[in-house]
Amino acid sequence: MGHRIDQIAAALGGEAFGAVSIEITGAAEPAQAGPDDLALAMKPEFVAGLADGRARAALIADGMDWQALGLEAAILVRRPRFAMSGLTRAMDAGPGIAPGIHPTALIDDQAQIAPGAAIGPFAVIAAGAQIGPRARIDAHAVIGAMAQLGADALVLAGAKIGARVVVGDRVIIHPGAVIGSDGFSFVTPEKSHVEAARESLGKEDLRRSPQSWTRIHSLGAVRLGDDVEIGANCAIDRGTIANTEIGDGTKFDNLVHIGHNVKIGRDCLICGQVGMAGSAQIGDRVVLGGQCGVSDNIVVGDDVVGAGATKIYSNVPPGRILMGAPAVKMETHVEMYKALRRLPRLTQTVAALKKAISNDRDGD
Amino acid sequence: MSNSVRDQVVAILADQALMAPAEVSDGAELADLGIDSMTLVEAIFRIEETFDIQVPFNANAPTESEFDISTVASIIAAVEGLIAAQKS
Repeated sequence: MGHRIDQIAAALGGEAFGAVSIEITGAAEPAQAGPDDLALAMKPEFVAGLADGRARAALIADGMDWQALGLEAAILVRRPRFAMSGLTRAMDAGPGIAPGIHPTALIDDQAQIAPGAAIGPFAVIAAGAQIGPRARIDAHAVIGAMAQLGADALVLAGAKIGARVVVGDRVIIHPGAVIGSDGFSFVTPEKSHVEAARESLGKEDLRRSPQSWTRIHSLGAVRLGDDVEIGANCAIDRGTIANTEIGDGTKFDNLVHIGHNVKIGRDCLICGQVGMAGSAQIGDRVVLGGQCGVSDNIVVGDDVVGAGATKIYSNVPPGRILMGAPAVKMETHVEMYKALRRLPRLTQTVAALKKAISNDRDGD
Repeated sequence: MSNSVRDQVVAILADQALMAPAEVSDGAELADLGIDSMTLVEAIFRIEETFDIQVPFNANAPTESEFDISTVASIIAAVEGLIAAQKS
């Protein structure tokens, strides 16, 4: 299927020049581009490749001279990386979920399927589940009892949506993700050594009598806002009484774990292998790099950024940029790292000074 | 290989940039070598440890430091200056 240059330009908010009716069928780096590819030459280092490839049309940055580059047509964009969003959206072949309901899908009589929804092979839709208009559910996905899936939502292969979970419109859930596993919540009949450790900050006490863990059930569910994206193999626990909540527009990378009762605001970016313990509250537009950790019951303010592998143990005011374990301001962390790296030479210096002093004494 | 300050600084920068020392020209800027801010911090520590000097740099605002990191040549000159000042 071809796309006209002027159509693509409109889709990504750029301006089309030259032979705008040229149809292209794919995107490629300039040097590898064939005559039907749109060459992606927004960066100067890629422009030189146009001469090596056979592209007739290219996507270039504002200010480049498309005619001088020997192109028949060009799309000029102001912010190339943002244009990638529109371009890739226009050219995405999608997951290939066939329209309609596959004959092998198991759909409970009490489930409600809105018009236009597509359900793939071996998918299971439980009693009382509501599937929104044009939602797409891929093979082997499971939608639990009374769960709600919004309009145009996309649930990919093998993802599991637990009972009573609410998923907003246009949400994308990648393969293998689990939304609505039970919270990791256990209690002892008497005060446990964990509670004592938290109170004393580590003073050991073995006098307590042994106790077993008793389960606290999860009565809440999970609510995902609109336009949320959940990466492959993420796990989001349900709340104890109220729901675990993920705000509109928040995106998760793969393998993120979210504990019970966590509340995350809107438009956050949560990278791979981040873990959040129970009842943490995360503000809006928070960005956490890969392997960040968040302790239970703490508050992370709006617009906080955590560099990769930052471990957040205590409340964070809005706008702070964090790094390290335990997390400190990034600039503080760099100073600490400098001091740490200089420590071996400092000990040598101190040793030399001590020696000099004792030599002086000997000389007295 | 010679042990001049220049060669040692170039060797450190080349190591961080994953290049051969011969590919690092004196006029090159750090961006040309693909050295970003965290890599620069690492390179500066290596310089400190190699020459047993303390480099006055601000990792959060490298361009505001007294230590001129604009080109390979400026780093070499700065290191030579520090060696002269701190070894005396």
